[in-house]
Amino acid sequence: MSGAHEYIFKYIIIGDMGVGKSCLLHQFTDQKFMTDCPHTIGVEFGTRVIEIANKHIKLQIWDTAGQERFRAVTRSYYRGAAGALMVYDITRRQTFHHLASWLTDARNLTNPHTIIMLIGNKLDLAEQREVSFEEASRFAQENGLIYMETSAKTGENVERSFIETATKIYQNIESGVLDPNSVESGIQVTTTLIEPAREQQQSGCSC
Amino acid sequence: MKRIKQQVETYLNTTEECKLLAELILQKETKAKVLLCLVANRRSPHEMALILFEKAKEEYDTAIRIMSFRLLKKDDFGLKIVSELQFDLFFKENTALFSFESTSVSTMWSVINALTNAVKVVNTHVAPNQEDTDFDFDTYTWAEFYTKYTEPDQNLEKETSKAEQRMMISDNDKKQDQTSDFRTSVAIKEDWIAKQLQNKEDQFTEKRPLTFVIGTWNVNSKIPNHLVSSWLRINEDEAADVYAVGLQEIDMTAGALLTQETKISDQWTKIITDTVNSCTSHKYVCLLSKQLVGIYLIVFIKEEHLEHVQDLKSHIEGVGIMGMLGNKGAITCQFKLYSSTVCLVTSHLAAHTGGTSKRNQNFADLSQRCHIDDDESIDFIFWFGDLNYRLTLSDADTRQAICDNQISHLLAHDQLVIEKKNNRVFVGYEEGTITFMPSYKFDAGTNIYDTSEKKRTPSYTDRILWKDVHKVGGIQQLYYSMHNTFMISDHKPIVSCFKVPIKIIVQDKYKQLYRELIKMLDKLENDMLPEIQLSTQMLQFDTVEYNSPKVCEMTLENTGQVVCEFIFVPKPGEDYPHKPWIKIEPIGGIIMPHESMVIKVTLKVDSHMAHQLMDQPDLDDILILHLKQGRDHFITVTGKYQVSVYGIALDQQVPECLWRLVDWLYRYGIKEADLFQEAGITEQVHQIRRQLDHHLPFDDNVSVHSVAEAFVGFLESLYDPLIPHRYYRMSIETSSNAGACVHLITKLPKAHFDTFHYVMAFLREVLKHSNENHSSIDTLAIIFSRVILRPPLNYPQLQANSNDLRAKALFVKHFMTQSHHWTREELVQE
Repeated sequence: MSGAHEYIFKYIIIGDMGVGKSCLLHQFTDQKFMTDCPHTIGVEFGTRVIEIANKHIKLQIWDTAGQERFRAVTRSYYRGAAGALMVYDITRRQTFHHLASWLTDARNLTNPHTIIMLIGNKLDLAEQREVSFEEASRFAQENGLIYMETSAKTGENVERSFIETATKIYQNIESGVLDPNSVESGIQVTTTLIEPAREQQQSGCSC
Repeated sequence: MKRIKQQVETYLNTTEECKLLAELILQKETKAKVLLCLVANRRSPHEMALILFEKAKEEYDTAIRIMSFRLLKKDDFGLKIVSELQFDLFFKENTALFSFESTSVSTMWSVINALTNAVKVVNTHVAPNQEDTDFDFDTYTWAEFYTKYTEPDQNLEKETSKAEQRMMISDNDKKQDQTSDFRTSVAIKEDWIAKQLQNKEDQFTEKRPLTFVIGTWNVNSKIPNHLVSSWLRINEDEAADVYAVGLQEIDMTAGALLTQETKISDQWTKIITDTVNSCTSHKYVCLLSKQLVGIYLIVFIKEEHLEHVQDLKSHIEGVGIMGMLGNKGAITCQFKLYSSTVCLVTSHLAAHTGGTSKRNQNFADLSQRCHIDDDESIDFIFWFGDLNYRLTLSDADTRQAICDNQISHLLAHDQLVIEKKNNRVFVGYEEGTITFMPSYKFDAGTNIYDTSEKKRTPSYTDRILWKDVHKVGGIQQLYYSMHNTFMISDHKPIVSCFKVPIKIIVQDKYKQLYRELIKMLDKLENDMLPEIQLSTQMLQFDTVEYNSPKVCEMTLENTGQVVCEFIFVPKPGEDYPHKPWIKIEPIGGIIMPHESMVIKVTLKVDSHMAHQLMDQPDLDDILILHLKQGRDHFITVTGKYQVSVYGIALDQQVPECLWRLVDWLYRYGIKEADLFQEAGITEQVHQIRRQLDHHLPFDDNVSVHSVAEAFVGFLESLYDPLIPHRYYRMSIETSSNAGACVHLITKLPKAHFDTFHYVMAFLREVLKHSNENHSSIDTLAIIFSRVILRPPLNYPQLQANSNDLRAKALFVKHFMTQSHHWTREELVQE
C-alpha cells in the first residue's frame, strides 16, 4: 500500500496594492488577521496542507507585490502557477476596474488550465461597498472565473476560496485535463509514506 | 543544565570564529549530560560542524570537554526520526551514530530544522574537491582550534573509524543503505507524523470484540448428507462475525495428490456455504476456500464487515511426501479486518505416535514458508487442524482414564502439551482448557474408540490454538468443544469460539489528530522559513555625476530562526541581477540568525555608459533579493545621471570644452613641473567638469594638474575614442610603419581627425617645454595613447597585453615628433 500520492499546488495572489492579498495569505496559513500589514515589496511565501477527496495537498502560495512599478518583475512569478487568486477591494471601485489588466497578465503568463479565482475582499466593510456582488459576478461569468467575496479580517470565505480553487485543480487532474507531471502545470507530485487511514473495498473473494 | 549551556557559549565566543546555531541537551544512550551544538564559521558560514560536549558526571565537576567534533560535509550527514521525541544522527564517513531525545516537540523540531537547513547549505556549497572523505582540517582552518580540545583517544577513534571506513567501502551494500537513509526534510516530517500516529493510536482507535467461530475436522474422505450447523453452533443468537472451517482428508486419492484440488471441495464448499447462510438472518460472504489434497480451508465473513477487509492473501504449502507434497501441509488465510490483521491457518501434520519431532519440524517449516513468522503486520494467528499429536500413555491406561473421565491425566501425557511446554513447538501460542475426550480414533458410525486390529490409542489429534502476536490482550475463548453427533469419520469435529479485539479506526478522531499534526507542521514550516528584515527597500541616489561613485548602504538582518542564504538574482529574461551602472557588494551570502550584514550598493557612471545615459538619464532599477527556500524582496533603486559633456560622441568639430582645456593648459600650465605626471585633486577635477558642463570659468586657484587630469579624462570619456574603435586593430598592426599610420589618420571622420590633430599639436607644444615640465615623448605617448586608442568592448582581453601598449605608444609617437607638419587636406592630396 505504499505510494499514496500527495500534490503540491503552486498558487499566486495578484491584484492592486492594498486590496488585502497578504492578509488573505496570513489568514489562510496562520488563521490570523494582520493589522498594520506593510506593503509587500517583493514576493511573500507561505504553505498549508489541505485535504481534498481524502488526499493531502500542499498549497505553496506566492503573494506578489501589488504596486504598479513592480508589475514587470512580479509577472515572472506567474509562470507555473496552478491557481491564481485575483483580488480586488469591494470598497474601492478603482481596484475592480484594474481587473481586466490583471486578468490579461494572468491569462498570458500562465498555462491554459490555470484556475483563476476572482476574490472581492473586505467583505467586513460591506457598508462602504462600491462594487456590487452582481456586477462582479457578471464580470466573473463573462470571463469564466470562479467568484467569491471574502473578508481577510473575519476570515469569512477565506478558507473556502483557497480550497475551492484547489478542488477545481484537483478535478482537472482527475479528469485528465491537466497533466500534473508537466512543468507548466504548477503541480508537483510527491510520494508520501503515510497511508490514508481508509479501509478500502475488498472484492478479492475467490469463491 | 543552564550552566553548561552558558559555558559552551562562552567557550564558542572566545574563539570568535564560529557561531552556535542550535543546541540540544540530552543523550539517551549514556547517562552523562551531553550537549549537541551546530556551529558555523563566522567568516564562511557554509562551513559547519557538529560539536558534542560532555559534562563530567560528578555534579561538583563543572568542566566540559569536547567529545566529538565533526565537520558537515556534502551528503555525509543523515538524520532519522525514531519517535516523536527522538532522533538519530549518523555520518556516512564513519559509523558513528548518536541517538538524541528531546523533552519537547518544538525543541526537537527547531534542532531538526536547523540541521536539515545546515545540510542544504552544506550540500549546495562545498566544493567538489572536498568530497575527499579523509578528515581534513586544512580546508577548515578555523576548526584547528578544536583539534586541541579533542582528546588523544579521539584521534585513536579517528584511526579506527578510518579502518571501519575502509571496511565499509568494501561492504558496498551497507554503505548504500546509509546513503539511502539520508532523508529530506519532507520525508523526515512524514516519518514523524507516521510515528506520532502510531504512538497515539489509542486516541483514534477503539477495540471492537468480533466473534470468530473456528472448526476443524478430519473427515476421513467422508461427506455428510446434511448441514453442519450443530457443529459450528450456527444459530440466530450466536451468529458469529467470522466462520473459519479447516478440514483434513477430504480426498485421499492418488489423483488428489497430483492435482491438489478436486471436485470434492466443491461439495464441501456447498455444504458449509449453505450451513452459514441458512441458519441465521445474516448474510455471510465467502472470503476464501482452498484445497490442498486432503486439506481444506473455507472462511466466511458477515457481509457488513466485507468493506473493511483488505490485503487478503493466502499461502498453501505442502510438507508431506518428499517434504513438499500436499498430503500433509497447511493453508493460510490472512486479511486485514478494519485495522487488525488476522491469520487463519489450518494444517495436517505428520502422523503416528513416534512422529513428534517430525510434527514439530512440520510446524516450523510451515510457519516459515507461509510467512507467518516474519510478517510483522499480523496481529492474531489462529492455528487449527489435525496436528496429529498423540497421547503417550499405553492404550489400556488411556482407555481407562477415558472411562474414569480423567482428562487432566490424559493431557499430562499429551505430546503437544509436553512439546509446547518445552518450547519445541507453538512457542507463544495459547490453547484453551480441554474439557472434552480425545477426538481420535473412533469406529466409523459410532462413538466407540477404535476396536480394529490396529487399535490406535485415543488421542487429541484435533486442536485449535491462537497467538496474540503483539500481546495486546483481550482475546477471549468462549468455548472449545468436540461434537459426538458426527459419526461418519474416525475423528470427531472440534469447534471453538473467540471474541477477538479488532482495532477499528474512528475516522473522525483520526482525521482530527491528523489535521492537528499537519497544522503543527505547517506552522513549524512557516516559522522556519528564512526571514530577513531590510533597513530599506528604496535606495535613492538623487543625482549621480560622471565617474563619481555614490554609495548607499542597507542592512539585512536575519530575523528568522534559520541560517539564511541570500542572493541577488537577475530579473526574468536578463543576464545580470542589476544594470551595468550598479555594483552590489556582496551579491550573495549567508547570514546567521539574529545577525546582520551590510550591503553596499554603488552607482557609478563611467565612460562605457555615459553616452547611453545622455538621452535617458534616469537611473532606475529593481533588484530582486532572493532568499533560498524563501521569499523574494524587491529593492528599488532610483537616481538621475547628471548629463555631462563627458561621454559625448564627436560629430562635427573640436568640442568646445576640449578647446577650453587646451587653451587653459597652454596659457597657464605648459611650464608646470611634472605636467601630466602628477595626479590632480579629485574634487577639483569634478568641479572642472561641472564648469565645462555649465560653461562657467574655472576657479582661480585651480591646480594645473587637476586641469590636466580633466583633459585626459575628457579624451577617455569620448563615446568613440579619438582613433575610433573600428580602427583599433589596424592601428596596432601598422604602428611600426609611420607612413601607414599617417595614411590611417587620413581615413578618420573629420571631427576625429581635427581633434586628433589639435591634441597632437598641443602635445608637441608641451614637449617644446620639456625642460620646465619634465615631459618626455615616451611618457606622453604612453599616457595619451591609452585614452586615444581604446580597444572596443568586444576586443579579446587577452590581446590587450603589453605588446598592444607598446604598439599604441609607438603609433601616437609618430605624430608627436616636430618634423611632421600637415593638414588633412594635404594628406588626402598626397
